[in-house]
Amino acid sequence: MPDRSPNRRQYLVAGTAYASRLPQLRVTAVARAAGGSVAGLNRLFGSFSAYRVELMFHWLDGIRDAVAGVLARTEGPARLPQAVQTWLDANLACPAVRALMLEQRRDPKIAERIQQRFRGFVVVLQLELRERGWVRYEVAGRLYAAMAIEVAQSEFEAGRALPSLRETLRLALERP
Amino acid sequence: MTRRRSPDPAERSRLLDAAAALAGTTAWHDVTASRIVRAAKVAATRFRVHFRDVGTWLAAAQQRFMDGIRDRIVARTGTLPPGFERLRAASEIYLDGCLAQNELRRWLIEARGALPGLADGLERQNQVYVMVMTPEFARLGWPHPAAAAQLYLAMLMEAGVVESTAGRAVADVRETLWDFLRIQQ
Repeated sequence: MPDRSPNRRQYLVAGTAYASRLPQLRVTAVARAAGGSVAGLNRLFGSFSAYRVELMFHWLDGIRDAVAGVLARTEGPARLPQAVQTWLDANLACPAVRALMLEQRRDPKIAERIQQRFRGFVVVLQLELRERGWVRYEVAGRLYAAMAIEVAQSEFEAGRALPSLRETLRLALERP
Repeated sequence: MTRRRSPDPAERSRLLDAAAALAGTTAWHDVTASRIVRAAKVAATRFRVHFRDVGTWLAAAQQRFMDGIRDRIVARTGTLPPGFERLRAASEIYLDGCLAQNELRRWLIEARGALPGLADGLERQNQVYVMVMTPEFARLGWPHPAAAAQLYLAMLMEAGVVESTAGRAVADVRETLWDFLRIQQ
């Protein structure tokens, strides 16, 4: 008889979907949403704490893939603003996981892994700004990423998109 | 009968001065009241006259560091007209002030992750900066001046981190900030 218990990916996908609707992750609810059990989740991940860390990186990978998708299918001046908007939307979509990230980054090892993901975002910005002919694209990529992170954090705290911040960031990115 | 001496501002100041000295030699989490009084050359019993614990001492050191920068900004930009030049002058004072106390600033940044009181103090200061800078960005023509002030401050703080790592002023970093200030001109 085939094993119908969820695999790691199914637990992570279920956790992401659950976290997009509710502010707090609960092990029983996540296990149920995946069609599995707490024991099954613990067997695959070791513990719910370890699962939460994996979920956070699964979420960050999803954000990266969403941005890469926009960059792959968009041309012209709208490319970078759309990619940044996608990044902000994705950040806003799962407040429970973002809260988890803010909590987890107190652990230096996890903080370093999170920093690596953000460095990837900085590199994307730098390459796009270079493509647009910005002279100081390396520094600008880093400082503009700090602005984008500020928008994401403010939206997380507000629990909604903040159009004035997004519009300001867009104006900065679209400058001649 | 012995009388408990009241807090002496000069003594408090010496205890806070010790933060800069210790930042160059000791990890922030290894700092103790004993090390602080030794560095400040103050009697051991005097630490608790001024500070409840090392956390409140760190918060006070951070506040003094931030107040120093703010006072220099006010003194040197008060006579400038609002807008680009005033924001640029204030930003340079901020960045130069951070570099002048680079080790202390790095220390405080590291400590903020573990001591929420420090992060709260910074957050309050940032709110004030955004409030003060908002009319400046309105003068520059930004459609959402408060948002522009908030995002500029985020850039400025990141610029401080880049220069802190470099250990010197970085021309490209500062020019990128001025480019942002000129966007709506």
